[in-house]
Amino acid sequence: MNKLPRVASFLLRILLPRNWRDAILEEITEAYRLDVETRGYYVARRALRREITSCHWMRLRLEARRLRRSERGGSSSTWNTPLSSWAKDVAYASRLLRRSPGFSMVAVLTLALGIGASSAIFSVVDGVLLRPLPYRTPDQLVYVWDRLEWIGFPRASVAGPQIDDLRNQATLFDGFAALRTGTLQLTGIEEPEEVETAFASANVFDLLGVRSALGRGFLAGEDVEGAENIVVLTDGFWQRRFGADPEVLGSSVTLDGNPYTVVGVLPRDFRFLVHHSLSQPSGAEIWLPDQTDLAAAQRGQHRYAVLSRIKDGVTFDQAAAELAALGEQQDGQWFGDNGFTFFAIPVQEDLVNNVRPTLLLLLAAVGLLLLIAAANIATLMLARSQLRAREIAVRTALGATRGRIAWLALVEGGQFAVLGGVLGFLVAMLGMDTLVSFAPVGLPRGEEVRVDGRIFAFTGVVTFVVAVLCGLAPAFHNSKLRLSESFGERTRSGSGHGGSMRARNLIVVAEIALSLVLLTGAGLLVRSLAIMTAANPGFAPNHVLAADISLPAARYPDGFSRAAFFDEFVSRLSEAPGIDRAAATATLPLGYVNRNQSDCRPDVLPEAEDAIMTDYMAVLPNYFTTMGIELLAGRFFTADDDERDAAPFVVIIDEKLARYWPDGAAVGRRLSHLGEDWTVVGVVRHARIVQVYEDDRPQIYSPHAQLPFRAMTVVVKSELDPTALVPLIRANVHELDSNQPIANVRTMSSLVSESTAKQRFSASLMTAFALVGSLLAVLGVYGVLSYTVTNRSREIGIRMALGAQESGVLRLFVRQGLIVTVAGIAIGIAGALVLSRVMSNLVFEISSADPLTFTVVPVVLFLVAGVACVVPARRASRVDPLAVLREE
Amino acid sequence: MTKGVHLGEAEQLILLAAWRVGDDATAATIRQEVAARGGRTLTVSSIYVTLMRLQSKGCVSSDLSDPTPVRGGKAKRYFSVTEKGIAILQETRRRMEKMWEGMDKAPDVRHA
Repeated sequence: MNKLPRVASFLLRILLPRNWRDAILEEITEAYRLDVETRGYYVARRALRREITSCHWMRLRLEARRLRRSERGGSSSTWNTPLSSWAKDVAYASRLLRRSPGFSMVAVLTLALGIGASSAIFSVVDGVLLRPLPYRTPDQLVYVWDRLEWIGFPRASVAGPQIDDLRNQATLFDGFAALRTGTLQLTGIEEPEEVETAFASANVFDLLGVRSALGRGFLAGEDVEGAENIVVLTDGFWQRRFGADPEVLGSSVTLDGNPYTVVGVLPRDFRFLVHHSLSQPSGAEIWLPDQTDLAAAQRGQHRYAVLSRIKDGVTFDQAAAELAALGEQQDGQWFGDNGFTFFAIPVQEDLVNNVRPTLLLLLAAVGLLLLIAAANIATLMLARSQLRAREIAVRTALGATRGRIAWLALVEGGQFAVLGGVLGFLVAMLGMDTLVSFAPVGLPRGEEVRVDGRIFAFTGVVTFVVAVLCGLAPAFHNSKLRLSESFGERTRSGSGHGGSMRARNLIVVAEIALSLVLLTGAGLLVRSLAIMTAANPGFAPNHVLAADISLPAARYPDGFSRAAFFDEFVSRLSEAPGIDRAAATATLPLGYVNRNQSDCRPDVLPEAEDAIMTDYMAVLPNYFTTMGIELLAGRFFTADDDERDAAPFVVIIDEKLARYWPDGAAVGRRLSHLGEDWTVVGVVRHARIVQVYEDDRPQIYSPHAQLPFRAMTVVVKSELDPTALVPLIRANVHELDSNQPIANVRTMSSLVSESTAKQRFSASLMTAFALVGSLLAVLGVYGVLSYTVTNRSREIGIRMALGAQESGVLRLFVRQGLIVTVAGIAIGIAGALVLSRVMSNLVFEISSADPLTFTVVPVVLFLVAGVACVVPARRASRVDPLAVLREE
Repeated sequence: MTKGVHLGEAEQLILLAAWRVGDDATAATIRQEVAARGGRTLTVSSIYVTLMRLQSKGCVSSDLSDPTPVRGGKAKRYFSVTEKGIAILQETRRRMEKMWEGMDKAPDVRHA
């Protein structure tokens, strides 16, 4: 007899409804047997496959259930009974909601704000941290880095020959792609421009698993020296410069003066960030195969980001172990056993590492805010259920079970939560764009943030949790109300149900504690921000405009022509109307790019000591006065220093380097750097080039004529609005060279504020959350106390009739409110200490347990809560004993 | 008795097949019958869905057979068409025939 294949029988056992399983399985076996006998094995197998893949089993389950019900004699509609009871409860709760519109509106708006803020922050967290990158099996993609810890580079780019070594020796990877970015000049069209370009090995798109939307990607062999010049465009660039013309394939574009053939356009959702510098991943607009011979490059030149893919079936740890072993080999061979190694970071992690702590902190903060909001609604509902004690008692008397009473409270809380959730989702949709546009420049993957089904699902889950949180305390409390207590309510002391009062006090304590945690977090961030903003960057950013100019090697082949261009250009600019001063530099402070580093040996440095790692840059003579960099000793550069052949090599150094000479007396001394001897002619203030609040390496300035760079940044100082000068600068460039674009026009003040943007972003959001949270918590204190006063007015009246003083009554109630507050603050401080430890790498120059923050925040919260207590307490002290007694 | 009960095409097919097979009507034999006469191969589970629905409409009844040693001791479910089922089938046919009236006079259209 033909049996069913084992897999088929297993699957069917899972799918079929339980009480019909054996019978149906038997029939299917029988049918299979008949099929095999009459129609052959092949047809029988096909029919069996159809049996499993057709979705009849779902209908089977429904029919089986319906049949069971109809056999029991009930109605054949599956949902009838439970639904009608649900509908009744919801209708009842919505009547309650309409009966007190003020209360309902406050509750719904509070929750909408909390849920909306959570969803908006989550949408950012989801888009940036959680959503997988849009490539084939993205979790197998890694960036490979060098570790050169002993010279201060815990994470360094990889040198060309090392990539060649990795390709030859590594066995657990699907290949290695060298990546670097730069700019190329697009010319031969109306408006020349500098285009962000990625230079990559030919296998890069294969590693990513990306196919071109139009044409093709790179072919093997196209990244070899002398291969044809081709370019692949991103969708954005294709739309922007070619109006999405499908005929673009095969056409030619001129980049840096050389013709390139367009062979492909990448898909619209292709976004790959390449590490531009270590801290600044950037998205390129065009992709070229990098035709540099990696094996022949210098071993000391660490200039590539390296993308790789771990082979299928290999774990990250195995791959990392192989890299470490290869690194060890290199360490012995090339690095003198100084501890060199390779290491890998998953691409996604690598790109978002910078923002991860900030985003997670904000998510946690908004979660706390939501908790406070839910707690607030819970206390309000508790207070209200107190007023409805009679109604609940009547329901109980008429036979409502405890479960039913509790259920009602849950439905009521759920109703607020659902309305709040719907509104909140709208808030999130509106708020998200604002949030992203407000986010610090270079939020990686910021453009991938969007509101979609995932965010909707998240909002749904949050709403459900909030519903339970809001309804739980009242549900628990209501279900425990006793008949006698409720009916006897008015005739007894009337001080409120003891249990519910305790519950509400506990909830308010929690609210105060949570808001203190939030406030402390915000306080720490704001303090750090204040310190960062007050930091002196070493230059005067006001009224200075900067623009990048990068001369193509084809038209400016030697240093002489480059120096001549910039000399001429800057002297023209200096004479232009409205411009006070103009200069140029190879490295713009806070400009993120073009940072050049070299070893330097001051003449006082003993032979035995290691050379000093410095940042060096070439500048035009007026640079220091234009940027407002203070001269501490010696002189600035003069035009004489520009006499290329005649003048001795001179440098100006910053105060940090000058400290290597005794008493800082560096002027007139010599240092060796870039293989030459240079005389120090001046010492200037250290100008911070990476972060406005962080010192960098010592710096060396050379006259541009002695060390000409191809890519310079022109800086212009003017009392006028500097942005109005852009056309003037552009016109001056075009007069000198009509094919020469300028790029990246920005003011120095904007760079300074961008430098603290991340901190400002997190500090302002955190502050907003903290303020809303504390407002809610303080309202909670107020609400509880105010409710107590109303409830105990009879008792107060009697006390006063018996001779209690106003001040005594005032003290009584203020004390009650403050006890709750102090308990909350004490717990909150403990929580804040835990939070501050988590935040330690987000605060700047202050201890994460900053005494100032930890003093001011609790004191302020205490005072505000105190005011909130005094208001109802004063009302208590004004109770008219006569009025109360008359009511009796 | 038959008012308000409508049969879909699959229901008609299966009900008719169950009637034709008679005492031996199981999902497997019904399937054979439908394949042989109706020219359609249905899946056993879809037949079951339909039979269950027909059962809740009262058109068929079902019984479990005694376990037979041949079948590994498992019981088999036999279906039989109820009187109500037959009445509904006939009613359905009458209604359909009213709709078909005159169709045999229409010109014969053959598809290329």
